Amino acid sequence: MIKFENVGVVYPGGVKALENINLEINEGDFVIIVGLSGAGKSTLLRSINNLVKPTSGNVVVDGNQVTNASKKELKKIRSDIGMIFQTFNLVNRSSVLKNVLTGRLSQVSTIRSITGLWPKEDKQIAFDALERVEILEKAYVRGSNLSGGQQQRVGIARALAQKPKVMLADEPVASLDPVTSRVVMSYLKKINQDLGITTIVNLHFLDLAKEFGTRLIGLREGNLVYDGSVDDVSDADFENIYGRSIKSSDLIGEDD
Amino acid sequence: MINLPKKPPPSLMVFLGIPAVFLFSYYCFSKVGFNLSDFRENLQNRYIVTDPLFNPKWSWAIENASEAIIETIQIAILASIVGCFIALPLSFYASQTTNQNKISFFLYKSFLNVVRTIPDLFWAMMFTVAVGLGPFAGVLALVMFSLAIMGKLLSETIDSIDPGPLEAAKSSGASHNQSVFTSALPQVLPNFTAYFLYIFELCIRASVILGLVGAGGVGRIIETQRIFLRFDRISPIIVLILVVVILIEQFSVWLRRRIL
Repeated sequence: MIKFENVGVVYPGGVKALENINLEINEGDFVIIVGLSGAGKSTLLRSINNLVKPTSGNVVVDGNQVTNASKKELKKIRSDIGMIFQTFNLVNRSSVLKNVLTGRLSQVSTIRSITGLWPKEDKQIAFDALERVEILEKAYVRGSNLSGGQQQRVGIARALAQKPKVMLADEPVASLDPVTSRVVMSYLKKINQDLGITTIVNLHFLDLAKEFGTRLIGLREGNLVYDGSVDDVSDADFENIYGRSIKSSDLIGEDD
Repeated sequence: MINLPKKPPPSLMVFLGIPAVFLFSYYCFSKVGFNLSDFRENLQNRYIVTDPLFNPKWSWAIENASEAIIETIQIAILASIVGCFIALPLSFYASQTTNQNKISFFLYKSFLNVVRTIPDLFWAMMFTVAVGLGPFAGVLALVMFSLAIMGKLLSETIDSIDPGPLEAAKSSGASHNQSVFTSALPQVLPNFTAYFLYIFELCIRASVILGLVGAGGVGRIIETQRIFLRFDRISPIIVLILVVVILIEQFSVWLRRRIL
């Protein structure tokens, strides 16, 4: 489904974010990427939809070359990849529904999206997406009037409205408290299981990774240092990923 | 006993700067020919201006200037609306947040800078030549005036918006225009409205003097009466303008506060 072929990213200024990554992610996987901040998690995730363009190597999604895709091809590829952000990235002044409809932009004409004349089907898709994260009653509320957890659920709904094949989540719970974090992670897990959407989540809480993930990928200084099932991972593996012993700040803690 | 850090001595700038300011002021006064005794002598003639100024001919002003004042306001309303709405799309091209193309960003930014550098009265003079004397030239001049200010204020506001929603829209496969329209525009709409009201106030004030160069409005009447030293007719017009400007400004301040 997603294939990294010798992918490397060097940022302007010479910072090596990723080095020679080879990776294959299968359809329907629920993959969790862990690593310290700066290890290259965000870069890895963003190279999948080319928000970050790899400086070497190639990313293939669903048989399509991403890295060297033309503008038009890239739009098509991106429309199949939903993304969720640490800071939610909602337009605070717009209603929840309008935010979710952003996920439909790639399917409607510019004129329609500008005039707000959304086709009925697209609105229905948006409502369905809100229903799936159980926040439908907030459809006409402004984004800024929601709590952090609710905003992230709207973020998930916006990604779902794309009817994506792949879901990328970049630190989706880093701005949330432990209880809400688990709620948001459960929605992601449930969507992965119900709809079979391949899901890749960046996390830095090890216990959350163990609790929700099936496959775990560890990054350290831009290199792949762990790739395997969550059940097999040991504390020693984590220490290898982090390059130090595990601290309590690496765990989100219990909520019950 | 703790060792307090030593207070640094006053900098050399203070010793040199303060006398320099005085010397420079003195130099400027002597250069422009400022002279207290001349000033006192000329003040003797003030009655030519002040006597009629404090004997306003109200009925004349209301009869002859009301229409021109209304025309002035119309010029300001039309010009600020047209100018601001032309500036709205331009501003998105003149901000690096919403225009990644360095060349076109530079061109739009420079265009706005050039328009802003040219004073409104100069625009008015150019347009009176281009489209003839009258209020239409005034409208065009103030369109350029409001366009330049709105372009500057709004493009800088766009520079500082949250780029996150733009990235989100982009990552969903939306086109650039769609992303900007759905994710950047709503973020700056309240600012746009507030700037619009502010520019409308500026336009009202600027339109008063447009008549001096023949671009319509009440300035034309002020200019002709000034030539004949009829300050008794000018002073009531100025009071009328003042009242209108204050009323409009109060309204606009009230509205702006409700929006932001």
